[in-house]
Amino acid sequence: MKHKRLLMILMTMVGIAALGGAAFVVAEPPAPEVSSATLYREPQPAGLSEMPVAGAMPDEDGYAGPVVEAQIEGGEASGEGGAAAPVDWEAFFTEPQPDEDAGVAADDVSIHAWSNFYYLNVTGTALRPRDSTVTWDNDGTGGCLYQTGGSTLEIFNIHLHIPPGSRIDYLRLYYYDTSSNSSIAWVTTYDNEGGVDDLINVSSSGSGGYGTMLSPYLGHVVDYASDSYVLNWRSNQTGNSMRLCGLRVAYRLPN
Amino acid sequence: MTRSRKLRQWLLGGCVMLVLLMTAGPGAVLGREAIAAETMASGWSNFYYWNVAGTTLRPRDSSLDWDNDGIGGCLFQTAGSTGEIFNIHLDLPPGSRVDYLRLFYYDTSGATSSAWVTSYNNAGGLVDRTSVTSSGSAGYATLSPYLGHVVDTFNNSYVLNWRSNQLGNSMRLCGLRVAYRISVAYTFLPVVMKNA
Repeated sequence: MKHKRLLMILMTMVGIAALGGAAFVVAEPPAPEVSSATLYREPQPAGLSEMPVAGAMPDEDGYAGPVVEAQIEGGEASGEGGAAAPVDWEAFFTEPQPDEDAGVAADDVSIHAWSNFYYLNVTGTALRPRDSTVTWDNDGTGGCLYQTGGSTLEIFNIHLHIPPGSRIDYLRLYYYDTSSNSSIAWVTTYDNEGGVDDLINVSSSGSGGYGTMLSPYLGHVVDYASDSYVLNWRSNQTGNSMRLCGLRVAYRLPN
Repeated sequence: MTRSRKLRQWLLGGCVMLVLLMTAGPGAVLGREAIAAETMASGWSNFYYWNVAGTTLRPRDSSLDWDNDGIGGCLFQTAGSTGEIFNIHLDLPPGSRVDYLRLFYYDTSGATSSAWVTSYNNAGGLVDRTSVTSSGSAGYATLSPYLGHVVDTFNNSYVLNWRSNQLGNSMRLCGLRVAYRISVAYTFLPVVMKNA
């Protein structure tokens, strides 16, 4: 009888200790290397000495004070102003698009192991030339880029990083084109040892101004252990009659 | 000593240990830092990689000129001070751990290029976390020592840098690859507890 009572006490205490241990693990994750509070207490350069402790600002967890909403629509922040007539890219779509979830058949067995679409969307003016002999400008809004000098065979590029193991399905090119030439965008992989592979490409079409074109389906699973990925654009035309307004990569995550 | 007396002593001893545990907490037994370290040691994913082509870096100073190797993967400096630097933003998942930096290069020069990771605290402070150099004129890839830095994007921005130390295509940056791990220490806990 005595043993039974002792056993019951022991079991109860083990249970309580287990709960306490779990609470300890949840409540105390490893501390970050340098806490913001510690950093903010260190001497700050002139103008930054008033920085508050962590949690006191709207962009920090735990903040409960008033929030001032952004009121910079229309481009006041850059002073550049918006486009006189903003482009309605959706107006170019007269039917469901294969790089949008609404355009994919529900019974498409090829997507069952993958998530809905995610997008990496890059503004044209974020790209830079691979060669410093090339000069460039933007359309005034800062969204569309065009080449102003240098060989039209040169290339503008930007690093492409999407979640490891995800699948690139499509590349969409947004452009302004009143030229008789066509620009081209593509995705390249480099193995850092001299190997290169252009995975997919898409060209601007016609000369009617703003437009968007979609690449064929790719279905490439990214592998950053072996390759780096780059977005490229070649204008094939100098001047603002050929502009790169954006590149959008449609990808899926493994389910 | 009778068997029941032995059992009673064992049980009493166990009770005393449990009371100590409950009053002082697990940290008092192993030390909280030790527990954290132990959790970290077993709580990291396999390697992930942030892999950038050399030609996606750009100079920090507009006085520099640069070109590429023709296929577009490797970059080299054509003019300007060889003390200047090419860089690119490094965007790793918050809380992940940077373990290594690998430099891919082409080097037939007598000079040595160097690459490194820098963190800036946006208030004038910076730390060069790890570095690696091109070695000699034969190799094409070198690996940094182990770093083990946990990414803190609340306080820091991270940048990849490269300095050619040489003009011309005899010294090319072909790529930089950061090997990092993601923390998986708490993924076994129920969702409600993880978010508690």
